[in-house]
Amino acid sequence: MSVSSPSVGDVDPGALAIDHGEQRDAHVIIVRGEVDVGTTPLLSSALRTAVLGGRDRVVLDMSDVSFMDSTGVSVLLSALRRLTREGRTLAIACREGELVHRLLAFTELLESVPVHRSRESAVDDGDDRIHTKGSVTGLRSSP
Amino acid sequence: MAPTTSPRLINRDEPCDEALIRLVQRADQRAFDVLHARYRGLARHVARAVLGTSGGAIEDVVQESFLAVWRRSGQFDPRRGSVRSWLTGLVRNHAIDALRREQAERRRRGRAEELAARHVEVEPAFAALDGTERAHALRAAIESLPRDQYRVMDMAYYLELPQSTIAELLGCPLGTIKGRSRLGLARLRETLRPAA
Repeated sequence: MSVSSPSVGDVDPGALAIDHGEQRDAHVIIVRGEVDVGTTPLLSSALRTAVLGGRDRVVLDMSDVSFMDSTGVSVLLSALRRLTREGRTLAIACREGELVHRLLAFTELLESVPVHRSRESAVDDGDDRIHTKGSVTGLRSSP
Repeated sequence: MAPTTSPRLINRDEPCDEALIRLVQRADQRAFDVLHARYRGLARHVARAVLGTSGGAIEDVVQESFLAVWRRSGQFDPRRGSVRSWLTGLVRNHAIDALRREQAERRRRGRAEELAARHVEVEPAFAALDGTERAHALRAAIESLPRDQYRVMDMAYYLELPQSTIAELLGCPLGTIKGRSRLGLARLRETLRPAA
């Protein structure tokens, strides 16, 4: 019998690294690694800290996130709802065309969250935004 | 007891609503407490009218609403209406959000059941669980899969992505994704089957 890959419950929490701090008027969370059911609690905790921190702008830099599952998407949605209800903004930075950008596009979160190509642009609500799904192949065209 | 719909008689010693809001804007806790005592009954009434229920959900909405009053008192503009109408608007919005969350959660549980019934042979023991338990059991079963299969099944069930999209996201051939899906389903059937 071949050895199967480890179950997701065996994920090493070290597979995800999170730094956070403040940059100009934003609370910035920098995420590196894989966001899945084994590591999502770390991201959830970081977002909770950001939400309670009260800053109007929360920036999630996911440029170095190599994977995200439904639990990660769920945590993003939860934070987005809470911040939106309070009149605050969640912005995401990620690499165009890579997994996080594609996942945001396929789950249609791209329409609800400002997504930028760089952390700087996300912090300043700059112009370096990923507006369209055009760079992601295989998507259904808009009606 | 339903709150009165006419404005509560203001104790002559207590400031009026607008004065209270100005104090709250300066983080005056006592002013906030007075405002809270003055309007919590009305807030409960408004929340109950939207939620159509009683108990914990209403109290959560009322708490969230007054928290918003504390945090967003600077957004009150007397030219747009009274403190009372601003506050009841906040409560109504929070109650509508809570109602939508509850409806979304019910749809999610219903969808998990539907997916479980469609894709997994429903064993009598599994079928005997209620919707929430089945959703939890299915989630636990999916999480117990080897990582490669978990990722495919998670994206298929919970993000409702087609296999072709999953293949693109994971950078794998479609045949590989189909294979992992078949193995994953087989494992789920085993996991959800009751022990002999």
